[in-house]
Amino acid sequence: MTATLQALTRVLDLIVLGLLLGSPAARAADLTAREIMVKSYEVSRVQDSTGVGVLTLYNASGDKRVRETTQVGKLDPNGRDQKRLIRFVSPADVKGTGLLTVEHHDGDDDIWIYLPALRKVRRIVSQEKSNTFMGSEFSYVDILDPQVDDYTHTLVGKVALEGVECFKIESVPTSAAIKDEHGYAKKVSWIRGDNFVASQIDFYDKTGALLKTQTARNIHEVDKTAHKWLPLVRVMSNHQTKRRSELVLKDIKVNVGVGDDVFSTANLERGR
Amino acid sequence: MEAEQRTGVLRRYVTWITGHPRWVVALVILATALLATQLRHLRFYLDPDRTLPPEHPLVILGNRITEVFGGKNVVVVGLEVRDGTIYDQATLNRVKRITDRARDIPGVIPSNILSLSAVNVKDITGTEDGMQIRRVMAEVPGDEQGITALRERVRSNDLVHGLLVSADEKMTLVIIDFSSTEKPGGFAGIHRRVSEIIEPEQDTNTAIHLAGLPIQLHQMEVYSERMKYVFPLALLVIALLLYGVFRTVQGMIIPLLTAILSVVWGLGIMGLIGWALDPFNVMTPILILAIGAGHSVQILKRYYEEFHRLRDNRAAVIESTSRIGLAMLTAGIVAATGFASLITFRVPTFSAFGMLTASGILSALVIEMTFIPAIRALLRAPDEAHLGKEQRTRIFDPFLSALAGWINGGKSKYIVGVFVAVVALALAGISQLVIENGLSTFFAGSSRVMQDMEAINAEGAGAFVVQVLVEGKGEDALKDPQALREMERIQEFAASQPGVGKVVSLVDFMKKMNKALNGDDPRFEVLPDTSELIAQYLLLYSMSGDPGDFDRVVDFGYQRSVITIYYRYDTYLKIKALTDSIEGFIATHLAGSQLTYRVGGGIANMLPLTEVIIQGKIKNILQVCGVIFGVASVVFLSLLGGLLVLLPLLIAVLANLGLMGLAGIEMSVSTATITAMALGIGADYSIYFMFRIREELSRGESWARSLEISEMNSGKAILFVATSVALGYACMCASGFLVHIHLGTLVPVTMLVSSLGALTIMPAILMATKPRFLTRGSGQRKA
Repeated sequence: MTATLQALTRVLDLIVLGLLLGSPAARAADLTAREIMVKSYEVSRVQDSTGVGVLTLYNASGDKRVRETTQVGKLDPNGRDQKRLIRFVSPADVKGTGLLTVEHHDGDDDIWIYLPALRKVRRIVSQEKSNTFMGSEFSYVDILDPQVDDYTHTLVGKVALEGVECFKIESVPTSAAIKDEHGYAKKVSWIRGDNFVASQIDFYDKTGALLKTQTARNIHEVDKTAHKWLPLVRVMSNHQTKRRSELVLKDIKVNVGVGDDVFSTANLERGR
Repeated sequence: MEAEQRTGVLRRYVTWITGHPRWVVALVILATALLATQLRHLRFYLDPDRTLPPEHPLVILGNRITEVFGGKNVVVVGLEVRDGTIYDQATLNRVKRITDRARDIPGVIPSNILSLSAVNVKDITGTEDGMQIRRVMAEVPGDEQGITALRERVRSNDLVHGLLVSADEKMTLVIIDFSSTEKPGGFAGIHRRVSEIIEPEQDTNTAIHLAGLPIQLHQMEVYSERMKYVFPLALLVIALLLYGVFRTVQGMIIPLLTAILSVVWGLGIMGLIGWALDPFNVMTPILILAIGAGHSVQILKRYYEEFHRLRDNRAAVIESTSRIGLAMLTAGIVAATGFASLITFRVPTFSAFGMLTASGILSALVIEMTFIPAIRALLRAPDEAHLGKEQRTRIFDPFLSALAGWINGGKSKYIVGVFVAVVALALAGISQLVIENGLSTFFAGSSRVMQDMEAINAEGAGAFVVQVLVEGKGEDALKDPQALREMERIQEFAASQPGVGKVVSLVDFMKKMNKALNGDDPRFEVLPDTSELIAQYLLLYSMSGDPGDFDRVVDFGYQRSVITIYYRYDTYLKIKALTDSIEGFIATHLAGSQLTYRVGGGIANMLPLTEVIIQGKIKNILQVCGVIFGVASVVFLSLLGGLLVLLPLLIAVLANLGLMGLAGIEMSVSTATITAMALGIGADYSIYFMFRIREELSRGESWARSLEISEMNSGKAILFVATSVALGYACMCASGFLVHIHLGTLVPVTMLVSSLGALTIMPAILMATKPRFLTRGSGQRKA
């Protein structure tokens, strides 16, 4: 009886998946875990982007700090490193503060900061691959998806998450070095069958305990020609510290041809 | 005749009991078994928080600081090298391993771990074109050059040098902060888990010291456990001494049986109603035992007296129980009412003390009125040989008869003189009393826990933390340069106080950033002077570490911050001296401030604990005295009667406090608890004595003869129990733990002084006043 029900559920799952995915469903059903992750990686990979980011940090008691920024980003031709210029709009007393980051996957990142009250650009040397993205629960690794082959992926099954059929994929780091650098022993991702955006990711810390959960909402097709999708709202909840960070993107434009000169200290100092 | 009527009711009752002894014994055994099963539900805790009234301002402050910034359960691990300095690979690797493994202990606040290799211990330095923020030691340097560079980095970082590395570079600290004590398994769990981490790291060149409040509280638990061995030893000694005075097995066993059953019943009742016991109340069974034995010895003594007269076991049981029963019930109910009145205290430790003592006393009454007469009815009557032994004149008799002779012979003035001298001595002692409290005062200087603490205090910044909570009126209040300048002044003042090893706050980070972002120019090692610059430094700092790192320093709304003071002392007077001087500084120099500053947190939680317990215990004593005086006055329908009942109690408390003052024993949480226990001792003496005099007067005896009979019988029973229990408790000194030594000296001295008071000054006053309440209805003329 149970076996029959299970079989029936599986068939129903496949039918629902097929309906949702339309014609790619036939192909999607045959994809390996790695192929799913590659698609997921590529679907949100844009050459450049501009927009407004509102980062809200909540502590365990629910108090919040809100920071509104304008952000410009551009992907390096190597496809791994990103340049990013972030300018604070609010709170008022930090308005104009700028942050220019140039990532080097094989070395220390370059970070310059412009503090309007100091009226100087200063270079910040930080030997760590910054653990936290602007003091939030997101780490830089979380914000910028890691390389697919940094992890070994296993397709656990297909499950519906909030009415959308998803591939549930377990990923473990391929080396101890990556485990150390990223700080995760395991990740479990729910990749949407329709647009391959990760709808939810559970992060497990180095001891194997559940550390954080990221959920994505307002998943939006930001480039209709290249079929690029981005979640406009991402929430990262830390289960261990009970803190939570929410990143809301607004006015996002992608692949608009941002010039390299944007990412210069001179431009940083110009302020706004 | 009123009294005779009452004993008439009792007589019928005891006759019934002794007529159904097996039923009664079975029922009492059943009740004991049922109450013993309730011991399972008896909860013990060692949590200073739960001892304190939650609405106490310092408790609220302490909880608030802990909630936002942590710092309450700080464990300090000190690695000390014998040869060389800590700057060698082996030692640095130990630091890294201990730090890494500490993060995995449940209940640890990872971002509050401080050590050379901790994630949040950063070095902020200026470079030619900017600023460098890096961990002081992310990895242990692989070569000499790296180690030398590390040493230079640390030497130039005064947030690390002097706090995490000692001035002579022979000790380095790992500071671990626990948010909860439950998760790691209590203080024992914290001690075990930290020990597991540090033990493999010790070797011939490396000594590892462990200090901090959780470690001390654990040690307290370990010492308290010695009671398991000392208490049975005390019981054995009491048994032997009882045998010594009674010379019969019954005389040895019956009082102890009542006493132990009363303790089991009292604790069982606590389990049944679900009231928890804290370390202060764990001593209460010692009091119940003394009271229970006291009642039992009175009845037993009377039993032998009656058996000698009647030569019939059952008749002697009925006669003794009904005669003395009234005195016992009166004494017991008066004392139990006094202690039960403590339930009105909202502080759990006091209400639990009152409840447990009252339950124990009432249990003793029930057992003495049921089980003991029943079992004695079942036992064989003493033979002539035993009776002879019991009745033989012994050391107490000449003394007691001499006492009666003095009082009757008009020598009361000498007794009053001695009494006045004793009271004067006690008052002189009391004037010397000092309030002092601190866990370290309970430990021997040679103990591991003290040596560790001293090692860390000698070389490190201090094993304890005191915090100043800085609070602004609204959000962003701390971005005001004036606010930071005020904090800086407090910090500088605190650092100049004796015993302070280091003071750390947001001010240090601001100054470091300002200097670093201005090309490491020392002239810029000052606070930024605009709120915009402060806001931007804060933003930069918040982005440079773990999210939890920054929260250690300032809260989410930039409204609250904390100044952390590393302090070498954990004792009340020292902590009070520090907090008073800082509060005084703030009141004098920062009177018009927009911010509020409150000193508390960390080891300063010891202040409310000490004050609440000591003041509370004094209030306890006054209340119990008041209630006992009131109830006794009603019972005797005489204020003098009430006063006479109160007298041995007051003597007990005076003797206890006086001895403490003379012997230089400080008034601490533990000795205040013992003083409150002293009340229960001696609460019964007068009542037994006065009932006996009343009984003899009603038989038509003269006052003089009544006094003599009372001294020789009731008085002798008082001396029996006081000497046996006092000497039994003196054994507790063998524990070596100061709390037990205090118990083993203060309780015996209190018992002896109080019993002597009941046999001397109390009868002297009786004979001088010949109060009407003792002759009422007896037809006795004043003689």
